[in-house]
Amino acid sequence: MKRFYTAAILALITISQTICAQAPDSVLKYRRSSLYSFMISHPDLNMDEEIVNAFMALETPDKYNNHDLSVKCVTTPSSNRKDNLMRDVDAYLARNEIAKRLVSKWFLRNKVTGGFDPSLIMQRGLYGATAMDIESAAQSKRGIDALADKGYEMISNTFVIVNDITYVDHEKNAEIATGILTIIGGLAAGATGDDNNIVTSLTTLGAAVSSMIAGFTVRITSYLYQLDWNDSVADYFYEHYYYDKPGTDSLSLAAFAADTLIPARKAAYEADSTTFRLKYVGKYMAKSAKPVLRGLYNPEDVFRKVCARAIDNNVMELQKEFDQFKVKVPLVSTEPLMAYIGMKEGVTAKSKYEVLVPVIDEATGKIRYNRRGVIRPVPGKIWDNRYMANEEEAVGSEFNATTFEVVSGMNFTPGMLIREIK
Amino acid sequence: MNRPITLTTACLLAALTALPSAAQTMIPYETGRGWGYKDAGGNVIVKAEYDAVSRPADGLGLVCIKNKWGAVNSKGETVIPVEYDYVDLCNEGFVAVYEGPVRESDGTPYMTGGEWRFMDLAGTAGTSRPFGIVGPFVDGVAWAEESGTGIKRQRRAMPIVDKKGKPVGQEYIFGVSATFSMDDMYLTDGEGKTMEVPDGRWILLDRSYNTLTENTYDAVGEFSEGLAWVRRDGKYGFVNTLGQEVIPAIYESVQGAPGSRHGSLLLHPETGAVRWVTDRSGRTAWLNEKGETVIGFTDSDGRVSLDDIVDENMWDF
Repeated sequence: MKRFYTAAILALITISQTICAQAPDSVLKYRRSSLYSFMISHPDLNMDEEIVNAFMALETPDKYNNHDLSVKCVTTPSSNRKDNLMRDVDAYLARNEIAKRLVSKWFLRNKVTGGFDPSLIMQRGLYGATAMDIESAAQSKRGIDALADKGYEMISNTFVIVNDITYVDHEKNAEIATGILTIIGGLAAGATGDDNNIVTSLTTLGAAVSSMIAGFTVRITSYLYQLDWNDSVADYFYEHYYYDKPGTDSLSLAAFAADTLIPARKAAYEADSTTFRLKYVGKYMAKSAKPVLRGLYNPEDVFRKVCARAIDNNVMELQKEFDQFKVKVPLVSTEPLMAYIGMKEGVTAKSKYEVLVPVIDEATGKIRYNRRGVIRPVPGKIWDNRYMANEEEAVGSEFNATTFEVVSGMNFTPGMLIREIK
Repeated sequence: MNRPITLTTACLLAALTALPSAAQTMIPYETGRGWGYKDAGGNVIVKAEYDAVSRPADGLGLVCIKNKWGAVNSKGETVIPVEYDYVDLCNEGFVAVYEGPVRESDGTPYMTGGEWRFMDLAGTAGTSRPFGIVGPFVDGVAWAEESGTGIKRQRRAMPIVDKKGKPVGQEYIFGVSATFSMDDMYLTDGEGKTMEVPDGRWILLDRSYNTLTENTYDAVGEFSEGLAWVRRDGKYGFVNTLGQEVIPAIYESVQGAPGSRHGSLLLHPETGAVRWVTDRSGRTAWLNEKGETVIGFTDSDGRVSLDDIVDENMWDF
């Protein structure tokens, strides 16, 4: 029979600092999934430049680790969208060995020496501090070997989102083609947060603004992939490819240079185009909501806000659809129950969340999550953390966390993780 | 005179005064006599005795009486007397005040030929010497133009229209947003495009009004993530907030400069690349914040095709 232990519950695994029961402002560290997102642009379509600029200015959603690779935008003619864009995306990902590059990033592989460095895993996995001497162990594979699951959970929760973003041409939109300018005074904006019933504002620095900007909307199809990091891949990687980066002292450098196995390992890793793969998870397509322009200062703000919210929405919908992509966030306090999650992550009055405690399977060393109870948001206490909600002065943007109430369970403690359930 | 805020529609006023916001403690309101500010609880903090007020910034509001401008704080106190021809660029404890002619172009007022000075409202630097035009303080530094080249400086404002598109006034912008651009200051044409901006002699100042730059520049851009583009003798480079020309002004074009195409920097900042530059042949290179090459000059502008094998040099891992 498998035995489980709680690995000192949260202290060793998810939280690296002491938390009191009433600490809504505590900065809690917890294991996030990691995300590389890039976009597909269509230079032959209107507003493509603006969309690219807006996308490039966006940051990785804060519930994920930024696992971006350097290439953030690829192009293809819009005519390709009508054929089989997903097939082309699959081919692009394989041709450019994106999965292997994601692994290389996990181990901070130096492209010159080929040496690996586990410090990113140690840092994101929060293995250090209480579990081991991170100063010494994290610098080498001994650090990885000492981990309960060798970083398995962290690396396997690596995702790629490919966002195909296109401008919705207003000329074809009868509502906007009426020519009505929607540059409405920000001072007069209502504070209802209702996108469809709001007086909106747009600052244009004295210039007239066309409906192209005021009514800017995009359509985004988001393709979700997951790094296929299983036991056999991990074992193969550690056995055949992994070697520590050279130290900085002369003795270490000399030893590294003299190691005759390293060139072969380096060459083998670089030549391997089959071991590392991405699994297709699913996709979601949606058109952005009509922009609320209140609090914006220039057209770039409009483009950025529309793109950010549309992408956040797609991420949220993908989370709802695919369990492996769901975020887990910690409770930051229990009296009241609060967590840094809100409307951006799809929290509504009807949402429900399970409260989880991570436990380690002693036999496999892998982490699993046991349910401790169920909670739901308190009506009127849902945080509006959507992009630029503060500038919009949206209802709920004044909170800095969502407040929950207990549906079932007890003995919740700060640091326990919550995850949405259907 | 171009009329300042003239919101008189009852419904707009109702919406205006009904705006509860913990974040906004100075909420413009209007009575038949003029404009003032209330707090979030609806209490009057500045009497409605001004011809115009602005969206507040840094706890201050821009106010106007008979074409003279000043500023009030959230306690209702006058911070800058209402005696200047304009006041603007409220940020990091500084504002810029203008004294000089205000002219009109197609009904749009603009300022030219006068003097701009900084005022340190939070520290001890006091009032600066005069400049031809100035930019805002961002990250502790500000651009100032020494010669007064005849630049046409506009009042930063936004139109206010109702849901049917009927113009009902203007909202003045007093603060500096994260997306502020130096172009925001210059007069625009009827289509919102910046009109020709003559070359000047720009220098960088610190919070004590000391000059940081060794050179003067013909044109400068706003600071973003610690760097601002500069142009000297037709060539572009970048200056950091210490005034150092970290990317020398030797390039044909650089990211963000006038006329440069947008969206070419498609590399994430994690690569260390912070700006792109182009050479005379139109090739692009990506440099780090020390001006060192991250990716050498290439014919690619950074965009890659979905059908391509991406150049290995463009990958960080």
